Amino acid sequence: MADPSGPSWVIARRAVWALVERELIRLVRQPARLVVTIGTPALLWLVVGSGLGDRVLLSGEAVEDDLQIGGHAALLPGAILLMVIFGTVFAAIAQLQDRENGLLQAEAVTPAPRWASEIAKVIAGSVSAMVQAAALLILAAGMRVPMSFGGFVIGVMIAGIAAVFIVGLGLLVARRTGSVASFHSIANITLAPMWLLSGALFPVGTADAWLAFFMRINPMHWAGNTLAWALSAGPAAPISLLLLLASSATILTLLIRTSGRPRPQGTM
Amino acid sequence: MSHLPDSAAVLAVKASGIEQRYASRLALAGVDVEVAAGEMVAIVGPNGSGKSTLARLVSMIEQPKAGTLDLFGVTVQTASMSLRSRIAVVFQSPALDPILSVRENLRVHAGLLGMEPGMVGKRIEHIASEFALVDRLDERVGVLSGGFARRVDLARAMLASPDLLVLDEATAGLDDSSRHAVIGLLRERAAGGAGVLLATHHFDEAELADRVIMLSEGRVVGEGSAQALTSSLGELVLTGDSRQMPADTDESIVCRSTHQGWIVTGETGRVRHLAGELATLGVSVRLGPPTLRDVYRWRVNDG
Repeated sequence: MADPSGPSWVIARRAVWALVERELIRLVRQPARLVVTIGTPALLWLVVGSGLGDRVLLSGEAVEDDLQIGGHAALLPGAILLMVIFGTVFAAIAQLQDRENGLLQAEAVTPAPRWASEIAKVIAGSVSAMVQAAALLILAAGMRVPMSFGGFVIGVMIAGIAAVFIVGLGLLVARRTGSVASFHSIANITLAPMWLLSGALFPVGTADAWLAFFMRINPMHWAGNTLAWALSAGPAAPISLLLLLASSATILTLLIRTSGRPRPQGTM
Repeated sequence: MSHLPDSAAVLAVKASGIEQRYASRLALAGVDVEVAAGEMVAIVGPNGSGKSTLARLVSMIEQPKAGTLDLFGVTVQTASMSLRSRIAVVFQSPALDPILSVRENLRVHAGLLGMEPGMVGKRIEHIASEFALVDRLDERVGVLSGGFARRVDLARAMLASPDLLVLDEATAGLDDSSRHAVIGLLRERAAGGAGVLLATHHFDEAELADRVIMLSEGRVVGEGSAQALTSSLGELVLTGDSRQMPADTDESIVCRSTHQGWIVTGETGRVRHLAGELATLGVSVRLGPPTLRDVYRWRVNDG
């Protein structure tokens, strides 16, 4: 008889790896998903960036932080975040479909930990976000958007870290919802406003005080700030980077620590 | 490394007085079930009788609200996750990803079981050969027929040669020949030493098990081998689906109404005679040796 046993962390590692592999195969075999995830933000970036022209004033937290950069450079962090959000929606829908198709139930009767599936989706989402961010940044470099090699590498890594938070958040929301339609409704009233208040479209410095408050407590704003810094489209943002890392770690912890709890009765 | 039960005396499943409740509904009310290594036990009953609840408890998806449930001598409430590596579960719908190929689905499951990566390929080839899947290993599951997908699902469940196999309506949606092929595979597994717990509403499937447990509204209403259960109704039964029950004029026979008609048993010659009388009157009846369905109808006035 075959031996499936081993220490629990070995089983967890092998399970997560197998599920990450599954998620990446699914991504590659669903070209429409790739087109929507990469194509739509890239198109928005191309069109709106061109419309904004060459000189966009980005107001930072203080007057001396103000920067003048091209429209494409200014919108790059927002476009990357949008890719991550689209990826999140697909990851959460996949999780809901896995639940409907009985795959989660089948996973629950194996020795793999309950959180394996969600963590695998977070990792796959993060890898996917890094590949997509790299593709967009290569396109941007081809269009002469100023960018150092170091900035490229850091930008790609930050996209991956931001994806951990955003995909994790999407999965937590999906856990509480009963259907794809319900998830869409909740995503529309959570992820979309978070993106709007990320600094993708307007800087915190020009926002009204109440709006600026919500922007400053928005993890997607921290991700946008950090991306802007990496891509030379914003001032240094060490606090935002730390907050982003902390929120990503918190989401991972939440996913793992609360994975065994049943979905509450009466959820949508 | 082997995963045989620790000793022949240890039962794969030993449930004593287990209860399960969902809100105010009592799904299982003090059920006792035992499954030994190498034994195939069928849990039979209609929808809502508690079969799936029992399967979920034995699969360790849920824990009983009362009673004790031991798997391989270990109480599930205190069992570690590793106990799950000895159990495989097959659900009503195949737990396969249609986008992935057969091989990829099996590989993902091997990962979930924590199988050593170096042996996964060999194990997949072995199980594919056992289930006649070799030629279709690289086809996507989404293009397979229902019967074939079910076979892949069984291969998935058998990947690590489990010591206990739990099947919850695993033949749903299959034609008769596919259903019997699946039961044949299960019998082979039981012959190989695994315990098999088959929850089904098909009485003809249950007849092929070593032991049958009949459930109705969360209670056991019959238990034993199919032969012992059917012989409890005598040699012959007469059944009919008309509303009009035959008049019970003779102490040598017993007539009982059921939700779907009536059933008569008793002294063989008298039952035959009654069948002839009713046929003369043009009443549609069935005369024959008792089946498990007859036993179930007799015991719960249903089925």
